[in-house]
Amino acid sequence: MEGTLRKGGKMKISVVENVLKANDAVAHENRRRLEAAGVRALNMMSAPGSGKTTLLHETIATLQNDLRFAVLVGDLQTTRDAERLGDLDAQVTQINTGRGCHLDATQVTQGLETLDLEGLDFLIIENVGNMVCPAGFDLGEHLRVILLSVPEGDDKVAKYPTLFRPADVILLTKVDLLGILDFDVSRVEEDLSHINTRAPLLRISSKTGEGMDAWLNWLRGQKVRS
Amino acid sequence: MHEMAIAVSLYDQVCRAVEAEGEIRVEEVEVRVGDLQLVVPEAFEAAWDAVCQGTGLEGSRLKIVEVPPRARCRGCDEEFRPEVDFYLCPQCGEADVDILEGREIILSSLTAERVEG
Repeated sequence: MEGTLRKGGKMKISVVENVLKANDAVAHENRRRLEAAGVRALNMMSAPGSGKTTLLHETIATLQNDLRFAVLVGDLQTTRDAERLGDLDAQVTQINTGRGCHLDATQVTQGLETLDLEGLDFLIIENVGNMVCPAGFDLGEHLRVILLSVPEGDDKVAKYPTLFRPADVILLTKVDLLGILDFDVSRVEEDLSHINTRAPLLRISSKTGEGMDAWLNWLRGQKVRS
Repeated sequence: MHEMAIAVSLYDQVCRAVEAEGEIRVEEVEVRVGDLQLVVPEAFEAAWDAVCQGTGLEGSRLKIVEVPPRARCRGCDEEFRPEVDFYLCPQCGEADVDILEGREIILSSLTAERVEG
């Protein structure tokens, strides 16, 4: 849609174009491609150090005999996260964003090129650790998994509502530290009561295994029925 | 700092719009930015200036128009204006919404001058 109004030597050109259109279109294509292959895609987002990679490792190690996983891991630098997942029976591709604070849909498309989607049940996209920027970019995922670790503090849902509002499940991680650190779970629940009442809040510890069954059951329930 | 990624996309779109118009000098680029994108106006302006440096768009101003969020409750279909940190449906009391407005970034218009040649 374009129109031009001239006034003196100046003109106002109306354009009305979605600046994120390029990303959204690629995300849409990613989703279509994943759906055609019967793959459910999860976008996992949180602050750095909240336990995304450890949780992924425990999750896939437990389920890899029943379900087929692939992982795209986003980080600014290094292949350390991919290496940490290297002993699993899963396809793992590291995406380095360089200076980028988030993954975008095109990077995911490039990641998909490295994967064999045939027979895959889940694609897990581990986003760059960041509580602000990743939330603004659709990658073509079906579900958003948001982690909040106990050491980060119980005020983070209130401080970063745009991350928690679209979550499909919220994982409170490192709950083995609940007795050690001052973290009031009821504050998180209270904040979620006006930000997101859809997503279950699951308390888990990758270290002790506490709560892992609830998370694994939730995940199993998301598999595309064939 | 997702402002830089947004500025790069915006730059491409402004260039396309300018191409369609012929020889013009862009003075102002108006962008509607949804509040839920958490764009920091100063950072966006700085990113825009950096992207435009040394190009035909150098010196153009960004005019950022903030768009407040609008939501629809998934439970009861009520449409309402939530706050960035408050999504409780006034009708049914759940916080489970689809966002109708407030996530978009839209290039809405350009103010330009024709270059005499």
